[in-house]
Amino acid sequence: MDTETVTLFLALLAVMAQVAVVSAVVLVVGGRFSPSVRVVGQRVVAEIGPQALGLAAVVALVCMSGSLYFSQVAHFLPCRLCWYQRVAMYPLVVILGVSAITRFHRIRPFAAVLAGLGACVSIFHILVERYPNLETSSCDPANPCSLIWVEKFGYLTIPTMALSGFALILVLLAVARPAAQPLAQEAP
Amino acid sequence: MTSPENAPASRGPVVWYAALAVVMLLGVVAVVAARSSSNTVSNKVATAQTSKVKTGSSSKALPQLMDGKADAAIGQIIPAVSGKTLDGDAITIGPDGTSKVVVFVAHWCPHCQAEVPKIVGHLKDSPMPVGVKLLTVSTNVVKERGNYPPKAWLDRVGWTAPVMADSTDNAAATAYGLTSFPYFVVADAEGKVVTRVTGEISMDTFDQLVKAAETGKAPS
Repeated sequence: MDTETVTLFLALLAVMAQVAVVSAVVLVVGGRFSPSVRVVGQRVVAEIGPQALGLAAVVALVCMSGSLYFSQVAHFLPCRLCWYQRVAMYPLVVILGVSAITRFHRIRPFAAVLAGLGACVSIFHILVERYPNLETSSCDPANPCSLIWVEKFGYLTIPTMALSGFALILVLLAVARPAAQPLAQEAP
Repeated sequence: MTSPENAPASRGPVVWYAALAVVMLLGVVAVVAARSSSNTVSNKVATAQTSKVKTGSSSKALPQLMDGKADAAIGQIIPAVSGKTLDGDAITIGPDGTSKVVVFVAHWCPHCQAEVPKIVGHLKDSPMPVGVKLLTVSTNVVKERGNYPPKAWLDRVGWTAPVMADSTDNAAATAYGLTSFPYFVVADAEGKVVTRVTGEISMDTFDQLVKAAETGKAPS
């Protein structure tokens, strides 16, 4: 499978992540005004909540695999800001994976801080890509952060994909909750 | 709010199957779309975007331009580098009795992508004075870095100055002491370096560089 195909696949996954994040925002905001939207939101949380930690771990795993593909297979050199995003994303694979298996839901705020920091770096990286003068006024021949290695659909660059991943992880952490325990039968 | 008793039971595997189905569907879409686009888009590049560059035997490479330090290249004779233009014609950049501004650009560099159209627009109103040449070197060509090929980019933005294709090991850029792009080297009629600048510049600064080439005096 060539780089073009894999890049397009990762870009499509990023679009799906964005759709999921926007849908979540719509359900939260719409739920404040419409009881029917609130019910839909509750059903979605009930369905996804118990699986959310695991899903977030898979999202982090896909993001990590994508970044490793870009650097190790496609030979797109990661820049300084790429490395900062990796520092935020890679531990999430382990933290969320172990937490999902052990059902340790108290990890949510800690994982959210890590994902939030990563998202902030992604946003700054996207700004540097669009406004290169934010960082420097010239290009380092080696590997400037302003270099756009890939761009899909006119806006999806590598840090945009990373931001989509961080945002989806944050949404999944927000809806994650333990599975409803069956009610204990009353003693006769 | 749904009470715990009324909460629907989570159908765990269904969520995972749905996620897997979406991922697989996107994978199929990516394969089909990439295959159809590779059939319709030709990546064929008509002329070589890099070319062998020969440095004159008596030429001495300029020292690298370092930030915050006095430029040791001032007064030094620019090296003569010979190669081919992006159109395949022979070209030599060196001391040839004419003042010149030599601009080094990289096709993938966003600062170069911003600077070149600015100069194109500026030259429409303020053409280069007679006796001062504007020459270009397309260097650091890396296909994977985007906006490739450099010829297509420079043609698209209306760049009309001659463009030398640097070699794959960036021999011309190295000979001229390049450390970053865009990079301007100004030489007087004797071939002596008057000033060097790196990074995006304003058109006022560009005019000062042209003036410096004309007069042989560095802008104050």
